[in-house]
Amino acid sequence: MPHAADITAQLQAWVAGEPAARETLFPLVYDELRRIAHRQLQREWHGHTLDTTALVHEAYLKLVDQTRVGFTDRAHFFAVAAHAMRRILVDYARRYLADKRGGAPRRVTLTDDMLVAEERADTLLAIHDALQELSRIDERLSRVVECRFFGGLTEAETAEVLGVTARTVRRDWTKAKGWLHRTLK
Amino acid sequence: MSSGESRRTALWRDVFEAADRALELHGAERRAFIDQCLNDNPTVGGELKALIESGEHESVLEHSASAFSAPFLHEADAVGEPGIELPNGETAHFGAYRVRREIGSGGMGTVYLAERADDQFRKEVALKVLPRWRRGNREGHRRFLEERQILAKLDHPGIAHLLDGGVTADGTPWFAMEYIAGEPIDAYCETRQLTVDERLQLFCDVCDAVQYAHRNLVVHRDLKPSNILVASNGRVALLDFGIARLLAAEDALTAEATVTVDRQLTPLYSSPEQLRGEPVSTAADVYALGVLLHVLLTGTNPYGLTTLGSYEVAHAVLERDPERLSLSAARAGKPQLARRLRGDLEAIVLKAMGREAGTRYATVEQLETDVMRYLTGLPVLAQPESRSYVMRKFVRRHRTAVALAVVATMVLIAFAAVMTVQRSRIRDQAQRITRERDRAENIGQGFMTIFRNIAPGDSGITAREMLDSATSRINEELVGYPEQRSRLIFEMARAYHRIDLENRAASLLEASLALRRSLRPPPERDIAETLDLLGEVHLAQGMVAAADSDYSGALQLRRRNLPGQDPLIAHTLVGLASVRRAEGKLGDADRSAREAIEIDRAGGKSARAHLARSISSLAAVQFDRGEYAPAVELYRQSLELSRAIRPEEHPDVATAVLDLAAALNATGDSRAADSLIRYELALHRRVVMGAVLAGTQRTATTAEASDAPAAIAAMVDSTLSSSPSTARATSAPRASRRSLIAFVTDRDGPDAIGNLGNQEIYTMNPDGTDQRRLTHDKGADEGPTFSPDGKRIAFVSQRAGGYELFVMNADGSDQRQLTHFTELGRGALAPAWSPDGKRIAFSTRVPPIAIYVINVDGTDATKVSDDGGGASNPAWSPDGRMIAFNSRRTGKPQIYVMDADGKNLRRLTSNDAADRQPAWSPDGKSIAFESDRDGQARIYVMDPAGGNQRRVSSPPGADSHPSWSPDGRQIVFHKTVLGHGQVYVMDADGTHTKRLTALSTVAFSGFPTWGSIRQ
Repeated sequence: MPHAADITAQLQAWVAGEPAARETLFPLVYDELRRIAHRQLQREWHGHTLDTTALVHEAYLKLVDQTRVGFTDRAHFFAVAAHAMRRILVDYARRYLADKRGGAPRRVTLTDDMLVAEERADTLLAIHDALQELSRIDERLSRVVECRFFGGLTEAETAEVLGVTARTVRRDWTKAKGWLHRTLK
Repeated sequence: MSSGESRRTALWRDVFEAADRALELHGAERRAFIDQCLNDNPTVGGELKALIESGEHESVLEHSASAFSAPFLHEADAVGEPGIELPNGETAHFGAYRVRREIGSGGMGTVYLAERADDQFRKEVALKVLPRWRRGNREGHRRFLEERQILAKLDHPGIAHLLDGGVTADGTPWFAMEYIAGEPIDAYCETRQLTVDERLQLFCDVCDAVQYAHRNLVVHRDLKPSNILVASNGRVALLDFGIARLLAAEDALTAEATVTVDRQLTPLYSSPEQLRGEPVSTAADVYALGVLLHVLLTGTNPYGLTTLGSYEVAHAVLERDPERLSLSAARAGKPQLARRLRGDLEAIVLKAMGREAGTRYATVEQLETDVMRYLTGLPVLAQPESRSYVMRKFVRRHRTAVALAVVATMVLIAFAAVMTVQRSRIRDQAQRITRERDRAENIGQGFMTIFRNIAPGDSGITAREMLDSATSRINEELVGYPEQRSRLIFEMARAYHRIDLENRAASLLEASLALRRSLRPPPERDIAETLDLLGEVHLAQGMVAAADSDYSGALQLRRRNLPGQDPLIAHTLVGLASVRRAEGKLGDADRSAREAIEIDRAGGKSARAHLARSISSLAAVQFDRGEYAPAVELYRQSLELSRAIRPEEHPDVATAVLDLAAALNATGDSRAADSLIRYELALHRRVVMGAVLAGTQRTATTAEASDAPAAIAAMVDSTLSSSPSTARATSAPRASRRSLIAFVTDRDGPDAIGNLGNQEIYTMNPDGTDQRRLTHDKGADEGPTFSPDGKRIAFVSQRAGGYELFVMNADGSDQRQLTHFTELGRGALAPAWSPDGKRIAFSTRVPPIAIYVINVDGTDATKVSDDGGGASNPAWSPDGRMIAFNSRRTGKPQIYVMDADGKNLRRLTSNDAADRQPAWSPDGKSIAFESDRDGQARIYVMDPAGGNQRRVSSPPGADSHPSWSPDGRQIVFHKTVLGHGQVYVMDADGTHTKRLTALSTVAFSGFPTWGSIRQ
């Protein structure tokens, strides 16, 4: 993949504490993920699940020079990817609703698995909005949700990204879920 | 934040804090804790209880977000945006495109965002449609089609390109362009708060695109921020060629004045000549770029205007000089910025915005070069007081003057010759008269148009651009006339050679040669002539073996076809003497030169020019032998002869003077050398100030004249320290090597299929100047490495799918693929030449990773390392006996060394950091490598046994890919600061670090390697 060396270098610069590198990285990862997602959606039959983990891994293999990175770099890449996935899914939800919306009441719930497409799109947007509020209260909590829910990261990977223990991630995850339930109720 | 919001925030923070403690407890303990909280603060306690209950509840959050979204994703992906109904009941479909919404409109057309209605990819395009009210207007119609035609000509990442076009059933013409989702360049800079350097870098990208258009004889004429978009990935794209013109269009000059008046110009970005309704050349774009640069750097207009009404602006542009950048910045209340902009950047903007076209930069390339020079810390050419400014300016102008004169004459003579042949044919075949005459005149007109465009006074086009368009014209219009075509191609090659564009010269000569050889009977004299020049070109390219065979072939043919005393034989002999010198065969060189002298002496007066050349050839042989006194004597004779027949300012005379000065210097008589050169430079000066270029650069020349003595002194200094001739005199004879750095950059933008970066290989001088692009393919290229003689470069390229190993000449010609590893699922990485230049080591890219060695002809790829731990990044020791590399057999990569056949593996570094990329110093006594043992990757140096490891490079950023200079005194490497990789050089002890490539927000430059080129 062209650019692999540079993307890897930026990733490493970010890991090394240069926040600006993340800004450069993000659009690249976002574009790549969107491209892969679009391709998967074109290829798969209707209703088939888009596999976040597979998606993020494919982007990772394509964009990052595997011979040069360690676990920390990898986790950080996934964190950027998680943020990008959030944006992509929110875009999709918005686009879908823009097309469908016929004045139907908005229904948001986190507990019902049998939601129809429209309700899911609404719920996803509601989660997205709520996370923005959560990030003002406790930024780390919103990032945990981003990593775990949107990015499909494991507890350990999330811990690595946020620089905390896995135990803290577990606590944060419970708190964040609880907060979202309370807020979206 | 409102107080209600802050109360809520404070509440939740308390709840979260309590939750942390509660979640560490279990069962009864947790319940007790929550009860306690409820007691202490019922609100916090209540939320805490609910939070923990629902937080441990099953919810959709346990799934991944994309699984959750699956029911709507497909539809959302497919839905796009609904098609729209256009006003006036116009059709919403154009060809295969469905219009979504209007994104802009102007006199030249309405632009819609559209998508392919039948395409599974749903590609978004910008669709331009001729507006209804324009449709009955022939001129409007013509202009619309002309824009389409111009766009079709242009294929550059910096220009939104044409995708499709057509006419609807009701006769409305339309075309589809690439849709650029971006913002205007000025807004882009402001919203992102780009630094001055970043803005300059973007500006250079704009210059690249404009330059490309000019090379294709297109002047944009409406450059302004709203026509220059920057996408989120930093890609610059020029839009709206609606009033652009083809320079060579037959009516360009006459139609101009009326056309300019009838449209809405943007006065702020319009040059004075545009506002006056005068003919417009590329100089108008240079002016607009100057305004753009002013606006980008200061955020305000260059005339200190508070309102931008057309009249006020036009008045200011025509009557006033633009403000200095620092004044504008100070006026805008940015004193720090004002200080930063003072000086060089001001000079650049003022020169670009010269009131008269002739006082501006002659080309966009010159403007861009100056900005690049500023970025790399070199003195800019726009600064009149700089010594180097004067010297370089002077040399360049002189060269251009001579080159243009020579080129123009040659092409015209050649053209006349062809026309004569054509006419005689026409006489024979009366029925073809009309057609042939038309054709001939078309060609003639073509050349005349080109020459008109480079005539003094019009600063638009360089000699090279002129040659390029003449060449393509010859190829297009003389199909079916192989003999004439071969003649013209030959003349074009000679012209290219005169202005040092050896690659083009060589390929044209090959073409001419092939044509001539295909004629029956083969014209042996012409073939000899082609071979003779090809030898000269190959020699200039450093391809000595090729030159040898060219000259030998030419000599054989000329001896067979010409009388023994023909000066052409002497000419070839002189060429052969140069080849023999380059090969170090001084005895043979001596014999050839002497034979040439003998022939030319016999030629008498008419052969004096030839005699000067053959005598100087013998002088060079003497010089190489270290016999300086005889060399001085011969050079003197040669110079006298040249003076007798050439005007003083002729380049042959200048060369003879420089050679004589070099020889004088070598004998120790530096004073004589010095005064000779002073005299010489004074002569050149006279030429420059003469009539040749008076039209275009009058102002600059006059300015220099007042400062003549100082300027000449500066030139003498520079010439003595840097002219090739004197450099040769002060170093050992024949030690004519120069060094170059190869590197990789993606500054040219994305490739055809939109990959993020498309890395191409460049070379540059060790001071960062003269950056040249060698590869032009669609895939990524990386890892360029010079062969030991500097003539070839090995690299890996993805152009064929997977990464494969390639080699090419050091000028980018003759690119060949050596490996076919992709079929094996491998791919190649990091090539390294063996010191004998016969083999290349490299590693595979995909596991199992191991080091292979292959012959340079692509045969016999052998794995030399084992598969253990992924051996990669090989580096040969200078004696060729060992290969250093990095391998992860113990976990993290470490540096190892093995014999070249893979035996006798030793480990050199032992730590738990990552050490990689070994590079052997030319003397074999040190190995540089990259290590992150201090937390961040840096360059280290050690001895070949692994002892005395020390860090040499310093923060900031991360450093990698070290490569030694041929003299072992410096190391070039890749440094990534804030995510932006660039090429840096430092002394081998880590001091004097300097950046060589331009900073960029979007492009990276890296993988540098140093090469030593035998000349």
